[in-house]
Amino acid sequence: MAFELHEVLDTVRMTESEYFDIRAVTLGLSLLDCASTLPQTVCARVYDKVRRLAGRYVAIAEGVEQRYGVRIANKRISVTPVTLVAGGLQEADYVRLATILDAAAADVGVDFLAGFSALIERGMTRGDERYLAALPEALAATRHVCASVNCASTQAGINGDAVLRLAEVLLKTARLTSEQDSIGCTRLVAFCNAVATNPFIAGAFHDANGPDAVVHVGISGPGVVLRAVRETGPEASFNAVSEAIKRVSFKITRAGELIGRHVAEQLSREAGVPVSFGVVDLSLAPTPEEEDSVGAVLQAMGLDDIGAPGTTAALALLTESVKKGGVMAASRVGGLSGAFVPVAEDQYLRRAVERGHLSLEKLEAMTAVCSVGLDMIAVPGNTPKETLAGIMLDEFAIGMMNGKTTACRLIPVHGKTAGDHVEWGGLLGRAPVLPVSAVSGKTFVCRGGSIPPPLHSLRN
Amino acid sequence: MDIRRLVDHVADALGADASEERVEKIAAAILEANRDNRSSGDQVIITVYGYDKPGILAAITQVVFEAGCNITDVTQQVLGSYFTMIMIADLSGARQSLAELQSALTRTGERVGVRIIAQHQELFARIHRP
Repeated sequence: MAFELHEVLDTVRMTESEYFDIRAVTLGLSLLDCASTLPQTVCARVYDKVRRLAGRYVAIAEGVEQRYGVRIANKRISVTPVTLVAGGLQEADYVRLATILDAAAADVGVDFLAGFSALIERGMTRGDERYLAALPEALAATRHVCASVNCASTQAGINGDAVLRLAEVLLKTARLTSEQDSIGCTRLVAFCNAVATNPFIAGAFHDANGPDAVVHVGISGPGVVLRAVRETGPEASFNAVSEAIKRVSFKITRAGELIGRHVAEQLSREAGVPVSFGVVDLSLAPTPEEEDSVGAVLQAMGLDDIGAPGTTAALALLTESVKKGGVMAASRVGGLSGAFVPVAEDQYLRRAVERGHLSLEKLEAMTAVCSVGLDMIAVPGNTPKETLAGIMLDEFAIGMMNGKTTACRLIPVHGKTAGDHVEWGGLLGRAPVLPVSAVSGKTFVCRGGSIPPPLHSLRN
Repeated sequence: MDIRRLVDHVADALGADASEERVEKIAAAILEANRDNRSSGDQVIITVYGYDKPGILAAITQVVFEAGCNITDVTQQVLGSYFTMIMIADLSGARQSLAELQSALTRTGERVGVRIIAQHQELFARIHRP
């Protein structure tokens, strides 16, 4: 037989019972050729382009799922940051553009379309300012559109004005979507060192320097890694745990690349335009399914609960091992390639927060070792904007100083206080509202200007 | 394929009937067959598991035959009352698409009470081969 019996059974066991899937296939589309000073022209071109290039995308991805018997959990689209093609638009036009993108996403059958974004780490144009002014209403008026704002980078430093402005945007979005527990904020990410090849929602956007269309893939979720870690047993050394994770990461990355390439090739044929394969993102992204949890992997390593001393080290061990196994398996690795610790979307993390074992401050420490950021964290609706901005500044300082991506997806849930629960349903899950520090850093946060980049940004 | 292992395996299987000439002839035939299999990358790996009962193999073989696929390898194990089978079928001369074969196999599995998973071999090749 071309394959050993155990090889076949091992793969079948992964696909049948261990949540082995492809977590994200994201089609990146360039909108640069949609630019115009006339809002109705921008909207018409954008709608037409998404429909034309992505019309068969979901059907093709479903065909590839069936061919290999591997589920693609999320089929999504990212577009060029809209501020790069709609800089001349007025505030109301941005809202209209968001609803057009929303309609296009619904028409082609994807649940999320990301890239309603701005890159403002070095400063804001007047178009960026109009975009930010329109953002709360744009998020409130749509269901599928995801926004992200890059406020900082290792090269540019942190745009403090943008961070404070974004805190205001968050609070207004929370208020406008208060009937659904401020769900608009679940589709808004603030970044330091945003990555254009990231296939994961809500922070994906298409690279302005990229081709017309590209397919990026996010590897399987934590379920298969959990099995590998559990099988090592409590006596195994750190090295043995790392080896076990590397082996499974190699396999899931190989499968991810195969499926991504196949989707890109077929879409190229059917859409009649070149669709290239981009990168495999080696991030572990959990879902609200019980065993599909990054927290469960950390606990399986031997922590009584997440938040115990050792948690940050365990996360470092996990993310490094996933990367080392995956990087040998794929020809192009990129995106975020970290681990997500979204409290609302991960049952083990959520329960650790509810038990009081995992705090916002511990989550912040975890993001320093290559988890991607403070993700899907509900905070009280009456959190002052300066406190929200301070949390973001801290998170971005970690990213800026360490040359890595960090992000904040904070949801100041309107009308809720610490200890309350919110329920967004589906992939977004449910979350306890975390307390935030009552100590104010208002004077510091409101100084304005930029925090300069670190010395190591001068590499030449 | 490890030729030494193959030769040992053939010699063991022939037992008292093994002669140098016969072992060489059979091993060469197996290698040739494998070369043929490799030449067509368009293969499906069908995995079947469930409680054992008469007629499982026959039912699945019938579906694969009707699709016009050539069965290139089968291995099965019965442990107690539990049945596991792996079959490799060549799709290169098939009358049906892989999707149609998969649907037919799923229906057959539901009828005879076993789980049947049919996946294109590229998945296994990517995961288990450099």
